[in-house]
Amino acid sequence: MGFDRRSFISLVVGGAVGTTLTPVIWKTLDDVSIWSQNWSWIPRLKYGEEGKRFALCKLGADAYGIKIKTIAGNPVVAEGDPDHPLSLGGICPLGAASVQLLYSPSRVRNPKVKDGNTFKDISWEEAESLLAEKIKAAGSDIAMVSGDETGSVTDILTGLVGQAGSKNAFLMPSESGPAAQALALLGGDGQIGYDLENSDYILMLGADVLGSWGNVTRNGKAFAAGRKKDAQYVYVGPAQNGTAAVADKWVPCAPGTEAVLAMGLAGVIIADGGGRPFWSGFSQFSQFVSSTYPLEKVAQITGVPAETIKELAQTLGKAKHPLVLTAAGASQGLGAFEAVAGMCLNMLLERINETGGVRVLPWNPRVIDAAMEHKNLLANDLVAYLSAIADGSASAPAVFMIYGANPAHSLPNLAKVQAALEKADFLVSFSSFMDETAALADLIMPDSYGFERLDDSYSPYGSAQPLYTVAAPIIKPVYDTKPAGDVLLSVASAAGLDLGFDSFEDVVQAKAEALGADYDDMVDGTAWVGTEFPVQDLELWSTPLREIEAPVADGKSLALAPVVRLKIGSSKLATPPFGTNAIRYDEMSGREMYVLVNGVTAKNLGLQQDDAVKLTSASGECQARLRIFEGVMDNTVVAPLGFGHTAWDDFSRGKGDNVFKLLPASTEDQTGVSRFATVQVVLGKA
Amino acid sequence: MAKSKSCVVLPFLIGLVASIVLGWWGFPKVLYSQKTQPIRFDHIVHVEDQGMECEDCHAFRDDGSFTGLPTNANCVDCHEDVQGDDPDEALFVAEYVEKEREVEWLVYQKQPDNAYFSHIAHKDIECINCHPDVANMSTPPVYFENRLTGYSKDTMKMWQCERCHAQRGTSNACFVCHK
Amino acid sequence: MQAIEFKVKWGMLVNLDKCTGCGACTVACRAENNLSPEVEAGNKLRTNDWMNIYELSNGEPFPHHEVAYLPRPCMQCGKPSCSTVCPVVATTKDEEGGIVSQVYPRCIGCRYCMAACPYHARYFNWFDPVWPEGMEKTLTPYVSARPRGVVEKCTFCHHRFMAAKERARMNDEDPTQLAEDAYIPACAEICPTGAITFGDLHNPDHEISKLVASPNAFRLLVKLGTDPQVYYYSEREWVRKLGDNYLKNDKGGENV
Repeated sequence: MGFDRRSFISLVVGGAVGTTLTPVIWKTLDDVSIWSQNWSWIPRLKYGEEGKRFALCKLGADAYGIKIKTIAGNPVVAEGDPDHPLSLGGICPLGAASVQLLYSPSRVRNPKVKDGNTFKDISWEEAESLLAEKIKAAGSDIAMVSGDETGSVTDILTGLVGQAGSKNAFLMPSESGPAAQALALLGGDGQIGYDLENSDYILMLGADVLGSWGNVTRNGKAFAAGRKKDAQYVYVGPAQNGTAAVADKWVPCAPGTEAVLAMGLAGVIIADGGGRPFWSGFSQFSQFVSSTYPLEKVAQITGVPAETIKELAQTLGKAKHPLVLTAAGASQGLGAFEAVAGMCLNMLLERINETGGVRVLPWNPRVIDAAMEHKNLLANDLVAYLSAIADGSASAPAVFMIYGANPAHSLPNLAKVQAALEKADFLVSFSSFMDETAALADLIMPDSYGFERLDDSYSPYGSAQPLYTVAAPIIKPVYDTKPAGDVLLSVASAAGLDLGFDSFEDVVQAKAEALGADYDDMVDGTAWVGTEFPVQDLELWSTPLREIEAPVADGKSLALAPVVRLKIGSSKLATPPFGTNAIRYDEMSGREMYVLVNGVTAKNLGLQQDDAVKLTSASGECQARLRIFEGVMDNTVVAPLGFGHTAWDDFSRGKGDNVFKLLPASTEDQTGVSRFATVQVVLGKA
Repeated sequence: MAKSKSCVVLPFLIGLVASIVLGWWGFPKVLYSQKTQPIRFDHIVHVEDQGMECEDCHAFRDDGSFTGLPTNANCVDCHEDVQGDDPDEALFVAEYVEKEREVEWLVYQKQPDNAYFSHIAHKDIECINCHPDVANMSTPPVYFENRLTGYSKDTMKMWQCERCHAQRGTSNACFVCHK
Repeated sequence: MQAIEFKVKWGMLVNLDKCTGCGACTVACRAENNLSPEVEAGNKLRTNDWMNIYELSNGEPFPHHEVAYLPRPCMQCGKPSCSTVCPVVATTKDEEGGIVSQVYPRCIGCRYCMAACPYHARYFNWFDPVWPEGMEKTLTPYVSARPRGVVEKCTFCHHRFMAAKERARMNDEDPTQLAEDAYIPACAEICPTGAITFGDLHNPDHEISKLVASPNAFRLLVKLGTDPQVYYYSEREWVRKLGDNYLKNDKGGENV
């Protein structure tokens, strides 16, 4: 017998038959299919014990307690905290995106010093000694900006600046400044808050209560609870938004003129017999209102028909616990006299320090001797300061420190702001992210992200009761960052400016003690709630009131209504990685943002849906696409804030345009507050 | 010259036997790599000598989830420092406890991320029904890793879960086991 | 088509008179269910939005215009169009509770289910997930990470249902009779205005079973016979009427 081709074939056939009697074929096929489902670049999940840790979210203008779910100690998801008064189990779109921001591509991972056009990495020792040296050399020529209104790191900063002999400490613009000034103008002293939970009729004059005003999540919960008790909500503003969608009524009112409407309402209420003649200042006040704000004039300025004003005044009068919330649509830009107008209306309705009304809280206590009194800090106007530097009427500081804020993107008079920042000899940013301000800085000393450090907050604006929240770090810093509070104390001491505290924790404990709060309870997640409110002796005419400057319609331009949508970002935060999907197709087209006008306005301007348009104001211009939305008043254009970033990362950079460019700021006489809520723009094809 | 007859039967049988042998013996040898656990965890020392209970390390948490393989936190109560003279224990303390690294244990019953298993739903079944009986071993068994899929040779497949569910009348709905 | 009647029927009611369209539910859903962050989220034909919010309009010009916001998860239909067309049975409605399953390793990515779903609630992974460096550490262990080529959709946070059953077993309670607050999806839990109510439609003790009985409760596209388990509620008639039409600002399928 020979071994030939037939044998070979026979061998192979035997092999094939044998193979089918083994698991080789089936197992290989099965394993290959599994292999194809396990590509190495698809992330694998990590398992472990689930925990819940308490944290503080300050990504927007609010500061509230939330809970972070952790797996084997790693934070994975943020959710509401049912026990915190400002969360009550809810969370806003920024809070929901907060955990992923820990690893945002725009995080600054280590200290950096400017080197030509880029940055050079340096160590913390080098950074701290560099800053200490600069501070020593600057003497009293030093300034600071903080975006954190409620935290104690701001106290350290004002203390540092104060100890050095400077008064140039500023907060980013918000409602708190004008509100504090307004209360002072009325003879009061304290932080204004609102007891929405117990009001049965909330008149929102411009305040986007459920979208971006005050304590957004708490407002939502108060609204839900109020609905069960048949509370009424009326939204007054230039355009429909989320708040208007669920309110009982939308009253279209020209942007930034809501305070004028408040005066009109006051006039009607007084004419109907409201108020008491024996109140101190009442006669001057009613005289002022009837002569300066007759109903027809108010109707003409605001665009609200006289009949509607009368109806609103009547419903206000009939409600048991009415509450009037006056604010600019973007929660910043109204002057003190406008805030006074809103307060006066509440005073007329006898809502001050009443259930469901306005509450006046004690100020944030000062524990660092050299720190500025909070009300004095609020009285300093940042935009005026920076504009003066840009104009040359004030000198730029030798050392300018920016903490928790992004002025290079989110301030009115933006071109002047950017020029002023460039003029500073040594600009220092403590930002955790590479924002526009950090990109301009000479030195970046990245603060650890909120969950990586001890954080505290006293009564964010709107709180109905004094509230102090402290959150311990949840994880060790994932990058080479350090808590700014500790860094500043160490730098201050190295620069010979002893603030009396060794660590940020000492400062927080001192503040807790000053308030009578239990530090350990707070760190465990129980916020301190105060029960004392300073007695107020308000007078309607404690300071003579003045006519509020109203925008002049010229027939060519439109009134600009800038709006804040938290999912897009805030003044300190660009769109977070998880926020991009929440932006709808009718808010952004590709990389272009939509601005909104109604059909009649569009027709008058010869514009159509999806036209590329340009908005031009006295201070700058913006590009956008046009969307025709009937929920906007005539001769008004709605533009979203929070776009137009040039730094940060791919999630936000190069999308839309920065509407802050369109906001020129003017300074209010007597108070020095910057006003920028009544802007006219020309809208045309791009 | 006479034509010689081809050999067909013998090659066929050779092919048959060879492929069967290769398939049943050779193939697994090639397919699976052999690995050992990073630390030779000795169950007998812990269970018999130290008198520990299974639940001391493998227990249900308050929320009903199962701890599975314990983390270092479980071990450092005793093993903050080296307790005995076993070189593996010394290795554990030096490389894992002191460096704050978790041990990357090889999981014999490793399941993909898309499979969901609830230990508490199966608490009435003996552990050794699905897991090797390591409680009686000084040395953890060899870990055979499938070179193609990355999973363990002992990883249960879907049909094994489905069969038991069907026999007991438990639901075999997809979402009962998938995520 | 034969629909199975389950003892427990998980349902959701979204009160459109409370939804402000803020987007917190959209974001919380992504974080909970390991949806990867999307840089270019402007192209809505390529995004993955288990919970998606639409803006509704009454179609009137200013000043009679009214607006509402509608969050849309998967309807978990009683008679799902999707599971009937799946060629490989990657999606089924066979589990007690009525949540329509989606099994990623079995899905072949034919997208027939996406064509079938009238609510556009299903999304295809056109791309592999891209997690910025380090961000993959925030993945939850609850839902597997999906590769490109498979379809996914809202699961009413099914993993929380499983976790609730584990807790019930731990406390010696009956896992088939969960208390009202034992299981709640992420979106419903975190909504700032509490617009989303969740519970067992068959359980008279659960608030949702009472809410869906209201004449103001409605469902989307009921005429198609899908029998959705997601209800909406509005005291405004124009909002309720929109329930059986395509959305007014939907341009024939471009922006779904």
